[in-house]
Amino acid sequence: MLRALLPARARPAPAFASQESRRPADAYDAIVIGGGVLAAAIARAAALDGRSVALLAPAGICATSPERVWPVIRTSAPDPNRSALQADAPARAAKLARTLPLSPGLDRVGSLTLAGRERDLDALTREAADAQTLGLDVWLDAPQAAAALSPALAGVTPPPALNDPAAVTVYADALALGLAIAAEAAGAAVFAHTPVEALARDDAAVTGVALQGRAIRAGAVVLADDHSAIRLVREGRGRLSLTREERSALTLDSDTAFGPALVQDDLLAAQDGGGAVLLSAADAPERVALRAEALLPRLRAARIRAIENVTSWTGVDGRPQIGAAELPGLWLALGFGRDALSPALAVADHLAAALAGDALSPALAPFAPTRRAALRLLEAAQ
Amino acid sequence: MSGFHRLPGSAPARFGSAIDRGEPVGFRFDGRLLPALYGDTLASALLANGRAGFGRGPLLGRARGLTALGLDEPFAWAIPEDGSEPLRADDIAAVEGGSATAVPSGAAPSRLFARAAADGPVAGAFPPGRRLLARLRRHAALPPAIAASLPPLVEAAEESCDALVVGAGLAGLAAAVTAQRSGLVVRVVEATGRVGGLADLYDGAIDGLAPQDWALQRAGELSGRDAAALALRAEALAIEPDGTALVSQRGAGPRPGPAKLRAIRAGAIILACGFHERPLLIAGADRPGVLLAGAARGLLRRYAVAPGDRVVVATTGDEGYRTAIDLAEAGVTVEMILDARAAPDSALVDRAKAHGLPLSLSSLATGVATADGSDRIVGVTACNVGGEGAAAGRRTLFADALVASDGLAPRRELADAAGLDEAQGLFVASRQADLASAVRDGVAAGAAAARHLGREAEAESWDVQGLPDAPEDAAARAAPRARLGESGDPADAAVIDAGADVTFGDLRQARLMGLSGPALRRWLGLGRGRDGGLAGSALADDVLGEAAPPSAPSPRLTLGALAARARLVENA
Repeated sequence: MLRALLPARARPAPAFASQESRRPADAYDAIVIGGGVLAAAIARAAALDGRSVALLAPAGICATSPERVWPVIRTSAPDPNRSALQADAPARAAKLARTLPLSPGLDRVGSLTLAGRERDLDALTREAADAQTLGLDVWLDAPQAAAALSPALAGVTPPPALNDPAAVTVYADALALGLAIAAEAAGAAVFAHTPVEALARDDAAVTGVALQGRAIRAGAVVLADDHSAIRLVREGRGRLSLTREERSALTLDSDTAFGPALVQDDLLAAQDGGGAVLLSAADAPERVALRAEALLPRLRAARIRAIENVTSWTGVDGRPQIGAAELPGLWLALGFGRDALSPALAVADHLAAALAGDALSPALAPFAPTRRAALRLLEAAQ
Repeated sequence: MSGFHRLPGSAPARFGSAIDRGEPVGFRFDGRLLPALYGDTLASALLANGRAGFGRGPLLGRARGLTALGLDEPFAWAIPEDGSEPLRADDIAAVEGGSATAVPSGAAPSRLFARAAADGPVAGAFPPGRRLLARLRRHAALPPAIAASLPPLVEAAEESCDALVVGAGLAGLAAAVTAQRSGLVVRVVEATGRVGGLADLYDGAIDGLAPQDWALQRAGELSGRDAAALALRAEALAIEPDGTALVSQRGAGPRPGPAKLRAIRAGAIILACGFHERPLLIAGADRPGVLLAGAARGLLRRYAVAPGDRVVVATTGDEGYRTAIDLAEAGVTVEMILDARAAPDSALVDRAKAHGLPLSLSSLATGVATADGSDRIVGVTACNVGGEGAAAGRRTLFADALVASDGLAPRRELADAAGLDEAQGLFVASRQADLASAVRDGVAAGAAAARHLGREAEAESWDVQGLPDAPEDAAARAAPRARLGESGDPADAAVIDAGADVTFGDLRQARLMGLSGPALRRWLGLGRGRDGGLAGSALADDVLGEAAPPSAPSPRLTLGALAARARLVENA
């Protein structure tokens, strides 16, 4: 009845969804390689700046596995430089969500980082102090306060926790798709299932990409997908100085309210915008279940819907690489590790500004890929 | 009166084999007395009392009924007396003084808001207020209820045997007996509460006995040699790479208690998981009164419950004919058999013709018509496979129930997820769904497992007589989807996964947004219902045009069970 009264949605289907094959043009200002939230956000930001952009996704347009299993956007991080980068991330995401054609199911649930073995109370105290220096509303909560905040922790006495009440959870797949549709609406050419074969180079610079036997020229090639980047740079005999981490992720169905996203050392637990509870840790699936059960006995009866392996990459000094690479024409946005979603939107905006020729934001300076000369020494020392 | 009812006492005695009409039972459902007969289950007792509805779908809020018996039922579940996890209503015995409660249809399990935003208001959905409430309940950081008790720790134990057989249907029993006769220690785990599987739904003879009697005799033989050989209500969850099977074991009766985990280490594993019936893609086929052919036949033969007075049977193979003949013999009017095939050549079709059943070839059921303001079915719409406009021959048949079947498909989830082969000790017995193949494949798998463990196995050749099915007709099976693909509105009402409320329209819309592969399945929320998507898996694979990734774990696998497994490994 209601549907009959309402006009049909006028939004046309995005071009990247159509079955007929389209060909990329011969040249773009920028080519973004990747199909996740970060890549789509960069393509959208660059297109809104008036550049001609192509987004080449190696597979479908959906969140990458690290983005999906930790669907949380937080303000603070253990590294103060990252805190500075993502300080306004939840607010930025909320503002963006209102403009996207597809709701990313954003929910302001907050996050609690529980003291554990690796990151003990001292580390959390330091992190809280660093965050407060940046002007962030982040503080340490006593166990009773943490227990009262989190329905998921019912039945256990949690350790003290770092409370980041501004943190939001999203439906990462919907965010990636919404950003890609918005990028296309802003003029970007989006191609799903289009893996790039190689980077096109003349002597010292990257001039574009090789795709389906063609060379496509680009003023800048942005690698925003760890896996594609490693393949392309490795085959070009380059090095990225990334370390890999293997995690197991469990997706649970749970009817009970979960509350704030929870972190304890490498164990991450959050409910995404679609209602699924995602657990992950750098361990075998059974061990992840055992550790999660100890922390969250409430979830004991929850059904496991999926078990998957997730690989994430981090720079060898623990920091991502964002900005222009040593090779002219090549830009990097990779190595974000476990907490991949939080900085994505800020990084996209800063990178798009840099691509347009503005000076690189000082917030990105500690993450410059050109710091890698020092990184290699570090690697050699290790 | 129309709709589900118990056959009168004058019906042939072969209907109602599981019940005793002479012994009424008082069972309480949701606090109210439910008159039942000894041998009834909660499902059959409700249906015999004309109560076809089993609550509402989690997302679209449409009334739902029972569509299948046994493992395949996506929605008709209830909470047993001890308040443990929900069980299939067909798995809860109606015993004197027992009780059960309905599963509260509370918060929607999935993607409420992502989808509402994506495609606007959904016809027939819960009103926004209710959705908001569900959202609050799921997400708001409310303080935990004071009295809320935590789910108990899952108990776990390790055991070992020579050969483990999963499934106590005809194939499983044949395999287990063959392996046991060769001197092996055999364990059989059966997910439901009864042995024989589908045996009682087929006419024929094995070794001169009715199939179900033969199955009971084999089960007796197994238990006679080793009392621990056969375990009912033991559902295999997963098979680990080293050949250890994880089994969720529940107790019998109305107080099954929490499930225990058995980690069974076996030299050889025989998978005789049987078959599930594929649903047909029909608009409105999730309504109470639409059920699978096997379920209709099971209700008739086991509990003497008929789905209605005038029944339409829609089928793409011979399975529908078996049920149509049963219905006719039970005194129910078969309004029409709609067969998607153009010229079926099979003994069962000839038998149906001999019964004088009305038959319409190259025809499809396209939807159901309901009475104004109620969920009661009053008609079934049908059309021809080919043709447009007048040539499509759109028509409405008056009926109060629809029986639909798209044939039987082997259950492959465990075998796919295990990824082992015969050299590693995994043998698959269920390949083809007819009496002769079931027994033959079971014996072969049992003998192969015995040889794998270094025993001489004597492969007994039981004499099996039964009507084989005509081979599947691929063109007929593809017809309903093709018809729905071109027509407009009913697509929204054609449910792909009834447990999670995913419709053909959802799929079409998701495709328009460019989703594919695993992301598409995640987006749709396939498998997020109680049954983990098992009931609709074949339909979903068919409609999506790709098989589900084999990594999906069993819907019975909980966080507690996996943690219990980790504890076992650590304590060893």
